[in-house]
Amino acid sequence: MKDVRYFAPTEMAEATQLLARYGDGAAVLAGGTDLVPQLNYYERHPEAIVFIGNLNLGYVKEDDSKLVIGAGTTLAELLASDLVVAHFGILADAISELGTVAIRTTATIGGNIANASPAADTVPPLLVMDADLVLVGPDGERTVALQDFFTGPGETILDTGELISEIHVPLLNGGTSFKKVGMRKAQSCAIAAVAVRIEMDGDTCTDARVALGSMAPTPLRCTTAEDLLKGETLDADLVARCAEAAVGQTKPIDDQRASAWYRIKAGKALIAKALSEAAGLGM
Amino acid sequence: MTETVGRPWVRADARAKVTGQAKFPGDFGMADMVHAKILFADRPHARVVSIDTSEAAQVEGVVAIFTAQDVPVNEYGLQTADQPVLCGPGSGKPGADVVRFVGDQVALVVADTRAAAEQARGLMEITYEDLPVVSDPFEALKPGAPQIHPGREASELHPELSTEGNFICHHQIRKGDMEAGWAQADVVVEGQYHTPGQEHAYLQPEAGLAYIDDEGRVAVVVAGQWAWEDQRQIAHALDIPVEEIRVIYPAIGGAFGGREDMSVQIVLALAAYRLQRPVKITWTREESIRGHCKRHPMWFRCKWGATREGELVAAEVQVVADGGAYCYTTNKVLGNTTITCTGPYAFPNAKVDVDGVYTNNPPSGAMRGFGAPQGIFAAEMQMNKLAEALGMDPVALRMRNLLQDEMPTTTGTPLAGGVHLQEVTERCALAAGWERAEEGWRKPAAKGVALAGRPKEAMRTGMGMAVGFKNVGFSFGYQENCWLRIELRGEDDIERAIVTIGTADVGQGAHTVLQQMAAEALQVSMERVSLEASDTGTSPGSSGSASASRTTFMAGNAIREAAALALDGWREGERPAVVEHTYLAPETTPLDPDTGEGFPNFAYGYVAQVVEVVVDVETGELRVRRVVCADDVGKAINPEQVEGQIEGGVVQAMGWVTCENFIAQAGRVLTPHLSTYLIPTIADVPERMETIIVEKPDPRGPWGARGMGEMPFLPLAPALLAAVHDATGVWIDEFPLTPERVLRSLRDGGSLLECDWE
Repeated sequence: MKDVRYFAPTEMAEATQLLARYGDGAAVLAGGTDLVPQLNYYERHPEAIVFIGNLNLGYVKEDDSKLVIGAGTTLAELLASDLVVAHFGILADAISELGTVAIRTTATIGGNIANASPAADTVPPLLVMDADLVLVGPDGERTVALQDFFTGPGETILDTGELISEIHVPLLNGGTSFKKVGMRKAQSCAIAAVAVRIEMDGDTCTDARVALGSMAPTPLRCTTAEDLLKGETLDADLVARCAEAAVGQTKPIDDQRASAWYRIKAGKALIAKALSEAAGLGM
Repeated sequence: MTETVGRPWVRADARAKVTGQAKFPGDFGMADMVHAKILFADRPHARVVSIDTSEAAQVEGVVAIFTAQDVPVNEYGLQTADQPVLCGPGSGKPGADVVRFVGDQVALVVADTRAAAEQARGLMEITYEDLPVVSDPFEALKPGAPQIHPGREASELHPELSTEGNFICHHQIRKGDMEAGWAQADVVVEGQYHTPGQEHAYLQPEAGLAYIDDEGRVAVVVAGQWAWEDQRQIAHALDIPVEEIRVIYPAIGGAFGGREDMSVQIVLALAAYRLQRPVKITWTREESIRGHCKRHPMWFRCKWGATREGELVAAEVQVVADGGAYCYTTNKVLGNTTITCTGPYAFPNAKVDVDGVYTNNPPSGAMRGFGAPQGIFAAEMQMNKLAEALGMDPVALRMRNLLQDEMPTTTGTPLAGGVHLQEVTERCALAAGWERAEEGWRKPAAKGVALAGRPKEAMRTGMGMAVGFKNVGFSFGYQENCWLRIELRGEDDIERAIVTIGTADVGQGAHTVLQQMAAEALQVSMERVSLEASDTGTSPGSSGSASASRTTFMAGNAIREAAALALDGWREGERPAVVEHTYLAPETTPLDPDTGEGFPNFAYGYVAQVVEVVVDVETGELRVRRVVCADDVGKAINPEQVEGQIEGGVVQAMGWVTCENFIAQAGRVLTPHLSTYLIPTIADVPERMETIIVEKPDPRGPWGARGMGEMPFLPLAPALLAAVHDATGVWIDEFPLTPERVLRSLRDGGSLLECDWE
């Protein structure tokens, strides 16, 4: 058993330097709900663990028509945040079904994103809200669109030494809905998850976002479905075509929890349910 | 005077458990203690060619490494000693060098710290020669299949154990005249069913501390269900007299049958005995899930016939059970399946064949219901399908055919202790909304449901029912017994009554109930009764296992008889008045090997359930809205605990049917964590649970009590599947009902269950 170095920096610059120094040997510890099981099951053997909980990254504020969420904000804090509930109800919906009270109390939103699981429950809601991420590294910071962040399961565009510091969520209009199917009603990894946001002018859709979780190697924006919706009258037929188009963009896998066949069937059903709910259709 | 029986006394251990004061096996430590880790085989079938401990032994802090050659008698097993304590060469026991499932133990590494033991374990060099793996019982029975236990000998004690191929055991019933039965049948229903394995998922993973006590005995503090059996098996493997082994059960964090067989007991005792030092071990959850047995997966092929009036005339049932790598209690479990797989009905003609099969899967063993939930599932699926085929109400069909007093079962003898199947069925059906009209029983119409965000037409509701019964105790010819000692102290009045008994409280609340019964029998207050329990060092006699729904019945009768004797002594002036007594349950017989005739059990419990579900036909998700359970417990010694057992049993059964999915592929466990093996959470439990405690006394039960711990588990699966059929029109003949299985079955119009029956 080799020794692991543990760091708990209080300055962002120190954190990014440590991450840069240890490179692939570094593991970022925030809430630990993903990392600790990986350590316990010997799936990961880091040289250094860098705890980022002392960097004061836990906050939610409204700033210039957007929500600014510190990456270290816990899921429980987000669920209790009036700003989140008022402006970003779909995120609260997703979090309320994520893990347990104990997990939500320690897990952070930045961790849920950076872990880059295709099943991360906070990501589809963030995608439909056009969220951006602020990444900080030894050479400064940059802002990227969340939809460009993931490159594969567990893989992101984060450079060596970089971590997520903030999530920016524009205050957008439109009805939203989050739907998830799992093996049980709580504390269950999604077999398929769907988030939608739809802006309507009467019966006509003026703008839409559709995002899927657990349906592809990364969480996914379904632009083909979104394009079908824009400028069209929303009815049952269009909803069905959108669902078809959205799953056509996916690459689900067979795993212990479900087959690709099931994910496509359930994904379509969830998209239809979510679109109907977000648009206020009684379908 | 006191009337302690029948009242909801707060559990004796409640405060200690709620406040965290209760000590479980993992909470014990001693000065000079060393820590052990077990090296598991982690491969399903292989010969251990050699073991090189040299590098591991170099790790700082390593005290000892034990392998097969260190085990004096390298075998153990509850029914037959077919499992090596440690697999590997050099023990002299033929076949002990073979690992037969991933949880087989190969070495015990003992060190000053857990970390050192773990590190050394990782440096053990084991050379294996992999053997062909068979993980499907149907494959295991084919000619040329890999043989798991070649060359085993017949058992005089258990003649049902087979020596042929991979057969563990065989039970059969031949009753009446099948040809004549089929000739009478106007309607015949055929079905194939599969029930999956199940992990016990008790709160407390296996742990223990072994040390040399002040009388020089090897004491093992551990969680188990039958201390004397643990003691016997440890002594056998260590080749020392049983008196030199002492087994102590502290607080036990659940068992459900999973602690019936050995886990850490023997290796801990071996290490403490050899080192003459305290040795501690604590399994991780992963080690627990890989290392202990599971519920038997079973496959059924059923053909049942009835007249058009709904009279059952013939049943043919064939069962194959995956026993996994070792026998454990397979022969006993399958005895229960044999008598329950035709349901609680009076069949004049029946043919039943039940086979247990060795494979390289984790061993199957005891789990709540002990073979009855599987048998009842197949039977009640058949019954509900028959009701549909006959156009009869499922309650009406049952009321016509349920066993009653003096009616012979398939074994040719009536159920003992009073038969109250009709009462529980009737009480349950009425509470669930059935109407008993003049023309017969009428099921309530399904009510629609609206869930937020879900289109109404996708959400289908349904209601289903099933009935179950199970024996109390192991029996089938085994003479059930329970030892205890009562000591009455005081002068004029009994100031203190000390009851010494071996019975384990595995979390079911047994000790509170025993205390209540002792207070009642002795006519003293609860505070004056103290219980000294679960220590072979203080109880020289065996009180039997805390399983098979037997504890209240057996210990209660032992208390009643011993209390009467102790009070006689007290009245004659004995101070203290001391009685040691063994209660013997009524005699039973094994089943005849050819016909299945016999009187296998002395007592039974009866239960009926109605389940309401909502099924989302677009995603396959389902929710259990309501469960009504009527359980004849004879007498509720502690009504609150009875209710707790019913609710717990229902939820555990619901987990088996819905979200629990134990996956082993080619003998390898793919669900070794509670993040992959999902048990129900509080969000999953039925929205409404209504328990009806029926009290039809068993004339031979203590205060009329029957066993009840397993009964609530029995009918839940078939009742739930009947509710899904009611909601969707589709019969699903296997589970767990993952959303995917539900959706596939809706697509295919049912299960496409295919087995290789011969």
